[in-house]
Amino acid sequence: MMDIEVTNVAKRYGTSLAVSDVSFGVEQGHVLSLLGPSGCGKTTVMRMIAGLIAPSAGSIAIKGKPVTQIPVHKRNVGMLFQNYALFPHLDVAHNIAFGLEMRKVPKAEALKKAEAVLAMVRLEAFGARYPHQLSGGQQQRVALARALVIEPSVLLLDEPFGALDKKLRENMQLEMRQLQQRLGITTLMVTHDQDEALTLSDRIAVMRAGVIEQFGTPTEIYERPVSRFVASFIGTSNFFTGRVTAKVNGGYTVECPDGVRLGFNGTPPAEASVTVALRPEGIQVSPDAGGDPAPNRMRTTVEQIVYRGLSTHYYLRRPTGEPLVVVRQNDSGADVFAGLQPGSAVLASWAAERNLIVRDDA
Amino acid sequence: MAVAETLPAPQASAGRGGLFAFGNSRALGAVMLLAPAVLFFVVVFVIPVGLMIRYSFYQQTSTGDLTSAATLANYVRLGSVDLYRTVVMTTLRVSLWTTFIAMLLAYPLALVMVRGHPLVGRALTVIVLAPLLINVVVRTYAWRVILANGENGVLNWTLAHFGLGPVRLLYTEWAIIIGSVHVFLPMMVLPLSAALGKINPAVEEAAATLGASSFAVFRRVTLPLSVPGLAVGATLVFSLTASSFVTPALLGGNFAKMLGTLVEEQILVVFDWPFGAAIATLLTIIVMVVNLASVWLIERRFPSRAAEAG
Ligand SMILES: Nc1ncnc2c1ncn2[C@@H]1O[C@H](COP(=O)(O)OP(=O)(O)OP(=O)(O)O)[C@@H](O)[C@H]1O
Ligand SMILES: [Mg+2]
Repeated sequence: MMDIEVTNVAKRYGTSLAVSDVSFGVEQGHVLSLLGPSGCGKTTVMRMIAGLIAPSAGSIAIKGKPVTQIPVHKRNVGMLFQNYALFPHLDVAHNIAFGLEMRKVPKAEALKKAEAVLAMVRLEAFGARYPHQLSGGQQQRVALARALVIEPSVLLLDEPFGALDKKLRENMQLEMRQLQQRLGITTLMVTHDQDEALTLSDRIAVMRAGVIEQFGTPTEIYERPVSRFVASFIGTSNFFTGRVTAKVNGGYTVECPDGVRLGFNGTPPAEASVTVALRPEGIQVSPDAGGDPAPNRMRTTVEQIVYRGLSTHYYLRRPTGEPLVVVRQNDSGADVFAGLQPGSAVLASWAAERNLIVRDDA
Repeated sequence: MAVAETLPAPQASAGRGGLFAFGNSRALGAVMLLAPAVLFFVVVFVIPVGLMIRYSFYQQTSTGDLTSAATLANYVRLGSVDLYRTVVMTTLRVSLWTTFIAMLLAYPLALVMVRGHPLVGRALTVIVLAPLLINVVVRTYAWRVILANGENGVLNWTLAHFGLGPVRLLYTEWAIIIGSVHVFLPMMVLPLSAALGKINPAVEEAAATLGASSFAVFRRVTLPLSVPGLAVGATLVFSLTASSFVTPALLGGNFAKMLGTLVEEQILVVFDWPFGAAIATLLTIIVMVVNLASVWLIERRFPSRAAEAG
């Protein structure tokens, strides 16, 4: 069952469309991330689901019930705001009890329940503090407790980790995911951080300029990006454009203007000219043995080597001057990569299934 | 560890003292920064008020000299004569009503100024500030024309056209209240809109997602968060109304006297400076008590926030 259903929703501000014709659903118990660059309409979509702004067109349903006409305070959504938006004039316990009091729960009972939820986010001792006496991470946990205590139909998170430093962010992400899974609460998260989306989500909707560009599991989004935009926004990619040419035993070749040939398995696409994305971690390098390279091989020169801890990034240059990025995990033992320095001539090669044909819309 | 313990902490004074640290001491810097204002305050406020209070403990002899021994006679007279007690009550009543009505008018105004369209906000600011641009006597005479009793008054003339009235307003407390609300409204609107402007809209939205209707959001979030601005505005309006002179003199006349009018009478008409000083002292005390009470109210409501700012 779909807990959140968004159908053909649009939002117009004056003459500009912030969101145009967006449709998607979030399954019960799933985390869906709206991922996209700044200004693409993620927050707008979330606020329409919460009821904070009204859509210009389309309809929204929560737990099977149409809510488009229902005001925000009757929608029973738990929302986490980017800067937490705690009530500065109320202590932590009263912050959390607020939603219960609005539901006519007697004050004593509300405070008791607040205490229990505080324990759930491991802040038992903080009930009497005021928001400004808490660290960013603690404030976020209070905000989460406040949103969860009302037992919302769905949880909406707007860039929940944006204001935290890296270490704390990773801890909070883990904690949030565990809590979400334990409670089984359907969650919609807005983020422009691809790592966050890949780590925390069951599904990702990649947004761009008010429309959903691709919807799928994190694996699908990363391994099968449909467009040049998705391939470059999630992870990094090398791109080639070329013409579909020779059909060779059960596959076909794409020939680039600079002579590079990309070999594919399967049936060729309908278009004559295609764009191909190639993930940097799928490329191997070996000493340049000379000769005429076969498909999916390319002679390059090392331009720059950047050590990044877990991985090393090799910036190679093709004879035409175009760059080619190769990423290698640093735990893969001593190999040919060890002797590379800027200026070395190397042969880059990759398997045919690494070549991904994408829509060129960048 | 040992090294760290023996080293002095160089950043403690250099880093935090910042731009305004004079020499090596922050305290000295603060004193020097405050000095001009303190000096001004002493010359124009502390010394005159001290003199005024001293005057109020003497009496005037028939020759115009002051008696040599200090006495409470002026205060006894203030408390025992009915007329003076009435004037004190009128002053309190007029000031409280003015403050209350200004609050009711200012709240929606401030909300629109802060939340509404920027152009509307700017237009409202000009309209609210306008009375301050007009000379107090001119402004008050205008109110006399409007509120005049009988069919000459603009208000009564208009009411008569609709078959209503007449109402008796001029030379009543309500005339003073209307005139005072008009001129002191900006003193309420400005601090209130500053306080409302500081409220993070997301906090109100959060309340709404938690189930609060618009009215509940206002009552439980907006209103409590605007209390500091409301308290500042109330203090200003109350103090200014209680100590005003032109408005009660022209709109209240002899029928609705306030402490300000009484002081003027004693000093300029009766030439009883000590008694005038005693009335003025009482006025100062009333205003001070209201100020302290409102500070106390804010401190009690927002104890930690006030402490943090300090
Ligand atoms: N109240 C408004 N009036 C006019 N335009 C608006 C309004 N709110 C948002 N927009 C526009 O709608 C578009 C989408 O905004 P939105 O806040 O949804 O972006 P976002 O994807 O959340 O971006 P970010 O990652 O920066 O938060 C933007 O181009 C923005 O300028
Ligand atoms: Mg946003």
